Amino acid sequence: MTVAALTVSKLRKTFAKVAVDDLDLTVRAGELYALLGPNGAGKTTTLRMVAGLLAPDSGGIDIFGVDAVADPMAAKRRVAWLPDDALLYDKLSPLEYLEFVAGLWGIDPGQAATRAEELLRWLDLWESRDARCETFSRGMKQKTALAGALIHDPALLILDEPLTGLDAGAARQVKDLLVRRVADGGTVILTTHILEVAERLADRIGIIRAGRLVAEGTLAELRSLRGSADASLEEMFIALAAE
Amino acid sequence: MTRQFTSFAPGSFAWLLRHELRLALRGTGTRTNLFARYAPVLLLATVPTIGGVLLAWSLRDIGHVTARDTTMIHNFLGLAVAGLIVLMISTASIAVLRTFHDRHDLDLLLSAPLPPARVLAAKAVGVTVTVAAPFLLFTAPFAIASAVFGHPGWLGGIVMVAVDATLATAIALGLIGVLFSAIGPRRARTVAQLVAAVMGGTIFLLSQLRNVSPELAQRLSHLVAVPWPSPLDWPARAVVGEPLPLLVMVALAGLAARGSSLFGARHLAASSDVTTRERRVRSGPVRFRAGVARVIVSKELRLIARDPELITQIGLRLIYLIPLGALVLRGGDDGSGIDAPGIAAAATAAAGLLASSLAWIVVCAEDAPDLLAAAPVAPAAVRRAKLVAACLVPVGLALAAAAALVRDAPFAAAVTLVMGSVAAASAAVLQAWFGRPQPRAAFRRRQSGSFVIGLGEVLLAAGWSGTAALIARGSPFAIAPALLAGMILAGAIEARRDRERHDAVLQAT
Repeated sequence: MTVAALTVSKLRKTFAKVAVDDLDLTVRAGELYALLGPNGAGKTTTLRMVAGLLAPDSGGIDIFGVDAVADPMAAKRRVAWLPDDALLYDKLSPLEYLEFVAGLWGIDPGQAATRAEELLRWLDLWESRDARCETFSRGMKQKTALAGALIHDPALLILDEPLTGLDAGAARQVKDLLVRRVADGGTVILTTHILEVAERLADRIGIIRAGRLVAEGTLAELRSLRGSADASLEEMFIALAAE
Repeated sequence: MTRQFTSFAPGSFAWLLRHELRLALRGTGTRTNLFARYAPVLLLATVPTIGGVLLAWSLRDIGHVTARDTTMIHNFLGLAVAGLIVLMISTASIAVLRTFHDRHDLDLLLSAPLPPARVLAAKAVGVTVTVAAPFLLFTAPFAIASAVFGHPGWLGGIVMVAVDATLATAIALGLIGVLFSAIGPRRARTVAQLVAAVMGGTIFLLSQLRNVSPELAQRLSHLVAVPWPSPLDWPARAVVGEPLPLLVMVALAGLAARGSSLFGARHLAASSDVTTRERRVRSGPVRFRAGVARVIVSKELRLIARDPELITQIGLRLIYLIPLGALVLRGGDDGSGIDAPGIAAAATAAAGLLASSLAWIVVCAEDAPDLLAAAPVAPAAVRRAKLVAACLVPVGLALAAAAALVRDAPFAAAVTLVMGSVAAASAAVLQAWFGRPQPRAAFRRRQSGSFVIGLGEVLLAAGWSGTAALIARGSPFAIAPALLAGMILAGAIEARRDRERHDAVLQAT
């Protein structure tokens, strides 16, 4: 039996109100999973807990068989987290940024240098490798952060609204990268408000509302769940979110 | 009921100016409570008000002065006006950068159906008011009280502060406008900040010349006794209310304001959206390193080295210590020699204060905390590496001071190195424990965010500095300042434990 990439069980987090409410979620290894939900549904809070940025109040997070709550370091080695607001240093160049991130994840320097060049060339950033990130457009910054997320070849890539503010070309590059990543055996979880992206890219889609998973499955499964064979994801999403 | 937002007509010059002043005022702090925001200003205004009234009262009968006295007073006032304008250009340059460049609201304002000249003029006048305000706070009470006590002409002092601020704003707008179009916004920003810092530092050092170099101050004081030719003395005569010089100065300021709003502000607005050229950081290949500590230290040092604004602000803090250091260093009764314990004390204090600033930058002003939190690295390891990065430069400073002493006073050299390192480490730890996460841009006002930390770091630096001086002199009283520093650290440890216990309780509930 294959180990799940991510198993979240009875996960709970409360701030002023309950943000994540006994959430159960499983993401299979090698799939692209889109987590959808209206604003404030608990998507980002859930993913921040999975990435080890927030401690859950209760519940379990298992990443490729590693208990992320008990052994966060081992779990973090397998994960990369990329929020919509790129985790960048304006005064570093992309190459320096990748050197820093590779050092944090303990990647062998020689291997990291080779991988950095591959990633920067692939993302069309090689010519700008020595320029400071402060001079970059939003798309270039997002691609640099994406290169940072991939430098340690994570088994699980988590992206929170990765296409926000990107132009069509940059968005296409990111989507291609995600597809290739999954084709190469990687696992990707993403949140997005662009439902067309989830519809076209995701193997499975989860819809979360008020911190709970209200629907999950492939597009066909969601349609059959709604009893409408030709419903668009947008129609299903609006109906589920409103219920 | 519709809420009346303001009594000014929306889009009018006054309305735009009110908007600028509100933003400028809110930029001075993060407090939202009205009392908390204005109480320090009122408190600050009390001292010059009382002082100004008392001074004006004591000078109420100064009617009959000799020609020599008049010359000296005029020369002194002339120097004050000149110094004030340099200081104001420094302040105005920073304010212009913030208003026209950092606030990123020009696109919004210029896209509105309002005359661009009005928008730019409101911004320029907003800068003038913010530049003049602190100086008016100190001069206006004296001038008004003097007018009440029989010297109405001295109200010219208030007018001259406004004239100086207007001229300074015009010069700053012109200079920065030219810099923007010549070298691009980013470089212009760096150059303007450096120039502003150098100007401010120079004026401060000149004002402290008696402490820094009494000999030079003595030589320069002779200049004050010689009458200045007209019209060089007009600014001074305007301050005491002579009508013609005052009118000329006001007209000059009006012309400068008109010129700057036509040329400088427009130039600046047009250059603000120039696409920034890519800035290359090095030509050789980046060497990938292994080890978390090494990459963190290297990243922190790179970020500090590439932030000229931070470097100038840290440099200014050290410049402000020079007069104090000069007082300490002038050892011996004749005040001519330099003693080793004095150097040990100054280097220790500088290392502590520098480490505190750097620790705030690397620990509290981390640009990507989530990246570090998501990395498979223990938070304690990250903090240790950051503290090492914060202490490297201050310890280097102590090492340089020790190297300068080692031939003539090897014991004092050893004390300098050890106490400098202790001061740096303890100040950095204090900041790492209690500093609040803030963006780097908040560096200038970081201490207003935490008065206790600010006071603690100054007392800590003073304690270790005194310890260094007294150990170097071989005095057994070194134990006293060491105890003070130790007590501050003990208090900090206890406060931290308290906070951890409190956090644990919160977590549990």
